[in-house]
Amino acid sequence: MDAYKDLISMVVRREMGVLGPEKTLALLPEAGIRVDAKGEVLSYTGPGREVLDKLLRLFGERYGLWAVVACKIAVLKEAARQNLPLPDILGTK
Amino acid sequence: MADLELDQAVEIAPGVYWVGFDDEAAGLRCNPYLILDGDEAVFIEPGSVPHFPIVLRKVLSVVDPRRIKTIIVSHQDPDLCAAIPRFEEIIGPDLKIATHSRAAILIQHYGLRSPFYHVDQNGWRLTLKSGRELKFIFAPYLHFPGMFMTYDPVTKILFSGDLFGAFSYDWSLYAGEYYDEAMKAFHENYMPAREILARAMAKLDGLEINLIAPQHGSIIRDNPRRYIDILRNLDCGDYMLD
Repeated sequence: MDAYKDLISMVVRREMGVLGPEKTLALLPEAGIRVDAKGEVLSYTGPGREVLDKLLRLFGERYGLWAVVACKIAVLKEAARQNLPLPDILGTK
Repeated sequence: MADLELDQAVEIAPGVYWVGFDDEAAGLRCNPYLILDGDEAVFIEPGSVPHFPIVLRKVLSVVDPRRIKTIIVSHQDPDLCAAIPRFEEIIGPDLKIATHSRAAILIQHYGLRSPFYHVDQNGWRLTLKSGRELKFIFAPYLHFPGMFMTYDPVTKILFSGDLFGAFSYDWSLYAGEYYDEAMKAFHENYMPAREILARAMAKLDGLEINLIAPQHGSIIRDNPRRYIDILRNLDCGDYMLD
C-alpha cells in the first residue's frame, strides 16, 4: 500500500454512508481492495492512484454520478493537503 | 425495536409524525412532519409534487387537514414547497405559510393563495392556540439566505431543514452507524463554508435536543451533540477547491 491508502479508506467509509455497507463492500474486490468489516482498508493491488481511480469509476458506473460526487470534495481536499496527484476521474472539476 | 411501517405515518415523539415517502429511487429523501397540538396542527416542509399523493394519504391518516393552520417551510426549494398549492386546496382558507421574508418572495411564485407569516418579522416564534410556542433559529446561507430551523420546546425536536440532511441511497428513518458520512457528503456539496456552518451550530449550544429531524436524510436520535460537533468542524463548499 502507498500514500493513497487514506484516500481510498475515505472513499470506502463515505460510500458505506451513502450507498450502504452491503453495496460498498460487494464492489471492492473488483477494484482489488480488501477491507475489514468496518471498511478499514487492509490491502490493495497496484498503484494507489490507479486503484482509487478504478474504485471511483466503478462506483460511478454501478450507482451513478452521485456516488462519485458524494466523495469528490473530501478527496480533492485531502489530496491537496497531502500533495498527491489526483486520480484521472477527479482531474477536472 | 419493532420494524417501522414506513408505508404509514410514523409517530416520532408524542403528537409528532413523520409523513414522508420512502422513495427508494431517490438519493435525497424528503421528510415532511406534522405536529398535532389539541385541535390545531402544524405541517413542516410538506414536500414535492411527485410525493404529494403519498404524503397526503399519511396526513389524512393522522389528522383532519382542516386542523392544519400553519405550514412551515425553511426555504423555497421545490422538494419541500411545490406541493403547497395542492395542500391548500384540501386544507382550506385558514392556513398561513410561515417562512422567512427572503423565502416568501420566491415561494409566492408557486402560486400560493395563503398569507405569509414572516418568521423574521414576528419575533422568530410562532404561538399556537394552546399557548405552545415554536421557536425559529436563523441559519442564514445554509443553504439559502433566509434559512431557519424550528425548535419545539415541548418535544425538544429540532426540525433542522436542510441542515443535518444526507445523501442516502441506503436510507433508514433513523440515522444508522454510517450516517455521519452521508451527512458530510451532503453538506460538502450544498453548504457554503465552514465558518457559516459553525456559526449556526453555535446557536444550538445550550439547547436541549432529543431529536434532530432534517428535511433530507434520517432522523438523528442517538447523541445529537455528536452530529452537531461534526458539522461544527466540517470543511464545506466548492470555493475551497479554487
